Amino acid sequence: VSAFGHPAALAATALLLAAVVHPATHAAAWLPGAPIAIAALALLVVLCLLVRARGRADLLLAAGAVLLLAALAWDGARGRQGVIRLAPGQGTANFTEQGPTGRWLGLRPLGFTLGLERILPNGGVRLSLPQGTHDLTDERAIAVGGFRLASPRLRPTGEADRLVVVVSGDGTSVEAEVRPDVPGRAGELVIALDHYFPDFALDERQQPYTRSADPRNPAALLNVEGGGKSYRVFVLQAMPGLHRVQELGRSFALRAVDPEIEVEVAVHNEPAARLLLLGAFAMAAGAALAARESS
Amino acid sequence: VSSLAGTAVLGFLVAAGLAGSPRHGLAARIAAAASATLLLPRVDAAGAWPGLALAAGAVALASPLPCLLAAAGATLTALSPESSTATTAPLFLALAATFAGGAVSSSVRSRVESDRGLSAATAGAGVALVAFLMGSQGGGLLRWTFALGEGAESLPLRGAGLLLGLALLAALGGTLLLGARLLTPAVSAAEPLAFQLLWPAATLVTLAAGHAVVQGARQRPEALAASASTIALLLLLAGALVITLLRRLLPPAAGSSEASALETRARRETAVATALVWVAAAVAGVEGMTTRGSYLSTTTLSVAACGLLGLAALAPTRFPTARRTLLLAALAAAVLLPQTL
Repeated sequence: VSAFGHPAALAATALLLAAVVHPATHAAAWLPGAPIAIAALALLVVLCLLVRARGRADLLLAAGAVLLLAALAWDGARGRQGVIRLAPGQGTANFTEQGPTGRWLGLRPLGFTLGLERILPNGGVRLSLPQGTHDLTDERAIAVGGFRLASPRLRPTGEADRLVVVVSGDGTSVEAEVRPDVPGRAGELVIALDHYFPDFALDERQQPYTRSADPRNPAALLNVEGGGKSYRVFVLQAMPGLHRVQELGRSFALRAVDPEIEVEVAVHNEPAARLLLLGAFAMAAGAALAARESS
Repeated sequence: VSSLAGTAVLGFLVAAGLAGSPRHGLAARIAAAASATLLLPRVDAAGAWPGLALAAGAVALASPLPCLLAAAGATLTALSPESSTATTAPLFLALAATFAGGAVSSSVRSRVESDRGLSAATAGAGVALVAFLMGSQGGGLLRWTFALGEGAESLPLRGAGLLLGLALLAALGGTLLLGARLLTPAVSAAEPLAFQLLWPAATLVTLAAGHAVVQGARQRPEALAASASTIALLLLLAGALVITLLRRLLPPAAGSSEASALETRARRETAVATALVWVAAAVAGVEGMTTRGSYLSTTTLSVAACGLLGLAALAPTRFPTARRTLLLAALAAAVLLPQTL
């Protein structure tokens, strides 16, 4: 154990741990068992500091390192992180937990009910929380019930909130507003949404699919009823007038799409954060004391 | 491009040159103070805070490397667009970088009374310059190309590519020759030739940086702003090489008593830098929690890694200058390359 008290041991282990921890080295990507290596090296650094702790500076540094390690271990074991996905007007009392490796672990209770009132023009969201209404933005997290809610992100769900379809024929054009649950009308025609493709593409078997939930190349399959008959019409925003129904004498085009948007809010629970802060300040105090002792 | 901050860059470079000589310490401090006042009008811009902290550190320490760091910080302030994000952690990191720079300066000065120590310091500066030139822009300089910015908005500068390519060849040759001299002291003829190569290398890098700034400001300021960190690091590394080369022209440093005082000062500056890094880690953690909801981020990991390097540099064991240089390198990267965080 006395070998750990040698300054060279501390220098070597601290250098190695710094190299593994620093994001520029991307150690997690190439080092097998990086979390275990980090934990082992951190333990060695703490051991070196404890063994060689004699003066006040060394004692403070050792105490700081112990606090940091204990806080990180506690948060690793008992901390939680995940996301909440909501559409405006919806509420929830759960969040989807994400493990340290990025794996989704399922729903976990928040311990309170949270509602999304509306999306703000600045990209933030207005949330209804047990303590009242709060605006959550990218710049400021909200602490509630042991959790911190942060980083609201707007993202398309892959569904459409509203489609604008133009029906042309006989020298006239009529616009119809189609919603997933409310068919639109264009004269005597009733247009209902059958399937929506936000990022339309054809696979190798020429079957339609969507590449992503982002509305990069919107297309839709519509059910059009008119003259006592039903027709399936395909519309692609990038190619207006692609589909013409000869029996009706009409062509169809997708003019605009309002994608359905949901909000993703990050959820963090780090119960040992204050202990970690105390550890960092103890390290700072130890180093400052070392500066004083060296002069 | 801010002309006041540009003038401050030149002032800090002059201060760095003066600080290389112990007899001109006061002049260096005055030059650094005058340059720092030129940055004061930017105090309202949060993005300029690290540059201001580096400037304050240069005035306080009046050592070559802190003055060069201040020049690099002023370069970022002069070229970068104003940032709206007000974070305090980079300010503490910049102060820590200043003290780490002071520690390396003191550490090197305590060892350069021997010819071998000075050659080793020059070789170290040469290695850092060569590594940066070879690594920057994905090895583009090996194809004689250099561009400001990235992607479709980039501004290719063939002239700068040629100058930097030549600088790379000269610096590589000079550094290898110095390395040969260090490994086999009998090969004394290599050393004069090495210095004949390293002087032009530093000059060419400085010329290339100036050319890139002038052309970027004229043709595409946004591309110049995107490459502000590269320009700042070019100035810093070329400046470090020039300082070690200038040191050879001065009379030898004083005896062992001054060397011991300088080593004590280096230890103290290392400890102050480490203390400031851990304060920065705490501040970064708090800022992460209040903005992103979690203290864990690439920023806090980088700062924690710097703190560990500080611990390693504090240990009273062999190779103190190398360990202090590692701490300085990590801190300089954290302050001057914030996009990597």
